[in-house]
Amino acid sequence: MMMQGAEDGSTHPDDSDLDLYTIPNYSSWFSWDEIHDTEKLHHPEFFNNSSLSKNPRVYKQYRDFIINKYREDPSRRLTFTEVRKSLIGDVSGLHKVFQSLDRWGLINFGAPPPPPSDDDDVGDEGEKEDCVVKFDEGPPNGIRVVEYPGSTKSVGPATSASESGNDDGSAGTFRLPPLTSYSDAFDGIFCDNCGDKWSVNYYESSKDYSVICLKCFQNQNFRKGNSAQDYKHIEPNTIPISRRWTDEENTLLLEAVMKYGDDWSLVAQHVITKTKLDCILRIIELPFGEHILGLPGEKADVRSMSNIVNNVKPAEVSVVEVTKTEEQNKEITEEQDKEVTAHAEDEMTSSPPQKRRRSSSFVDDGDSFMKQVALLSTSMGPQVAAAAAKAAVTALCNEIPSAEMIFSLDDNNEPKEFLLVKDPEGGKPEDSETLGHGTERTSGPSTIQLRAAVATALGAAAAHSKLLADQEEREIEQLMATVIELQMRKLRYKVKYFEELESIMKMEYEQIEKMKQSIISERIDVLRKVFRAGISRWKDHTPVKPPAIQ
Amino acid sequence: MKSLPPTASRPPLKFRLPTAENLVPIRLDIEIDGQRLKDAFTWNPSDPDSDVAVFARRTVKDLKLPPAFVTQIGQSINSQLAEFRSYEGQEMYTGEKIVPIKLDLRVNRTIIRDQFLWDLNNFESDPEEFARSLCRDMGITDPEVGPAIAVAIREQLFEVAIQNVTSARETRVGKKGRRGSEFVTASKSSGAALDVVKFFGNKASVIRKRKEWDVYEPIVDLLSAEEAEALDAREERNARMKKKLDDKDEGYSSRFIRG
Repeated sequence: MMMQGAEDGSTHPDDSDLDLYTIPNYSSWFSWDEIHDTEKLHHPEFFNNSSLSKNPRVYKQYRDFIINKYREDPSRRLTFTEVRKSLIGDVSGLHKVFQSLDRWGLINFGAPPPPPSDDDDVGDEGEKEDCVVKFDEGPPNGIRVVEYPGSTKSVGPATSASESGNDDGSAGTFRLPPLTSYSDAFDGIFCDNCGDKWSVNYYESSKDYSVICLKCFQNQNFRKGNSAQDYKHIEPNTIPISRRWTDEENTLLLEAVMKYGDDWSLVAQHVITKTKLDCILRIIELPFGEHILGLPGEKADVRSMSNIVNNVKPAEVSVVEVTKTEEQNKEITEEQDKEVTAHAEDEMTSSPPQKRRRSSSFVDDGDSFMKQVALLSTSMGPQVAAAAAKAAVTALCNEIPSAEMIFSLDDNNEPKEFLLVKDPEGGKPEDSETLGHGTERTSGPSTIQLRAAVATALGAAAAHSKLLADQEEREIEQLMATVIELQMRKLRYKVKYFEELESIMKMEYEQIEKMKQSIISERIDVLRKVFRAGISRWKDHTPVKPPAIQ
Repeated sequence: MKSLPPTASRPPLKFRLPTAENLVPIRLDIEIDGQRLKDAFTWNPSDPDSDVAVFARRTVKDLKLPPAFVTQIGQSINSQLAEFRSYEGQEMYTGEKIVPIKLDLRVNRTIIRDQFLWDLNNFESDPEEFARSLCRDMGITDPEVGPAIAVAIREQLFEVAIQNVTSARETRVGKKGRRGSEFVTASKSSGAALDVVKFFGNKASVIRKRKEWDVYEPIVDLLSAEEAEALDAREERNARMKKKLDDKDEGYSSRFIRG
């Protein structure tokens, strides 16, 4: 906007004492007379007394000089090199001051942007524009180390460092800082639309979490069912923490959870490449995540409850009035009771998942008896099933001696198969199959076999139900314990309040006693006065009424 | 500000380059069978030593130099790194010290002369960034100039840092009192350093006198191709003469010692 003036040569023709300078809105804090906090924040070295050569006075001189220098001719770009020759001091410090003034638009705001190439006769080859950029690439042309031949990616000047770092250490990439090469190493982020790899700038849909690249977004190539509003722009610096989880990360996460429990900041530290939130999301996503978290979660519940109780205590103690506290006490105990029940309900619903799964499947599957047997036996461990089968067989053998023949015949192959197949693989399907096979193959003496199977199933079911019952019992016990504990606490509170009440009563009693004393002494006083006044003696015999009543 | 001399409270520092990144300037000048390699760059001393050999091999391959260069380059870098490391771990005197840095370089066809001040206690300074902005401001388009400037700055900083180590050592041996040590270091090592109090004291202005501006202004000259060639040739000749002289000198002195 002020370029016109620059070409004319005379920038401010009507120079009066008051010039109007444009500075950007965001630098409105600036004032000639004082140093703003922003500046102090940017240049702590001038304000923390660390160096003789850097103090607020010097800073202000630097700043004022640079801005004045620029305002001598606001239409041209002031360069650092131009400024530093006139200022005494550390060039690095000066450069920092200059840079921040430049960034805040206090200088060079109206000036034309830095020229891409100089129009002097400096440039020798025809690559004028490229030359300026080339500084970023590092070492001089003559000795520049070229990229590895294997890398097929096109290497931009800014990313060349990270790319080369990526190429020579693909095994060790996990340790590299996420900004440089994490996304490169682990496939980066691909545009779901055009399939291109975009690791710098992308948009993410809030609907189906599809990711599209900048180009697709600009061309409005959205995925089905998404509109522009659904897409959220993801900043470059948030990207390196990709949402894809690698195996290493998963194991790290599990390790961390085992080690630190639900201290997520520690977990995130252990996983390194993921944030706290990511870790939590992931552990929930994992099929067994709930199970892992189950135990610490319950503990946390109990803890929080005791916290509540603890918090309540001091608040109550300070109250003196008896009736009120009792009301409160009631309220609180009621609350606690509610919480206990809620807690119990919680535990019922959030009880170990395997329990629910098994019982429901048991109810669902009612078509074939054999199936049920198989199902029942699968629902417990192979050892339990085997033990149940053995028990059933021995029971049958005791009952019917002839059965022993049948089983002893089969003993050589079947039961062994039973145990051998199941144990190493730990696979439940085999277990049920062998059971099924066994009953089908030898269909001759099927009654005994059937009975054996039934007995096995019943035994297994009984064992299982025993297990469940035990579990339930333990839970009940635990709940009872908490309930009792809470009741105890409640009683203790009550006792305490009664004690308090007692003490208050005692105090009152004492006060009354005192009053009694004082009244007696008053009475004696009055009597004495009466004696001195020499009132007739006939009153001596009868107790004297106090004067107030007279 | 005056009441609190910050130098006294600052703990002694371990030796390093007084810049943000602790990069060591390395200069190569190797001649084998008429082929000469001159180069200057920076090296991160915390990189593994094996990188040196890799670097040497790759350089030779890229520049298509005879394989004899590989060991020479490696040796040269290693010896310069060893020199740097010999100071590592020693204490460096970090008083108030601002030194003038003087540049007088010729890179290809660009000649640059400059002078500016550098604070040895500013561990955020960045010679590379400084060089970059200098090139940008002066419109220097040759991409090799910037790094050359940065290396030149680092070389001078390296030298001053070594001085600081040695002076710190001397004072420790010489006197034990704090006052004495400050006095000695101030007088010993600040031959070229700036009188901080004079320039940054309460009354002084940090705006330079106008007549001094020229001294602290960069001068950039661009030679024509012929001039550059002529200069190259002259430098070559000078270098050879000097080498001969050195040889002679050595011979002379050795003879002298023997005699």
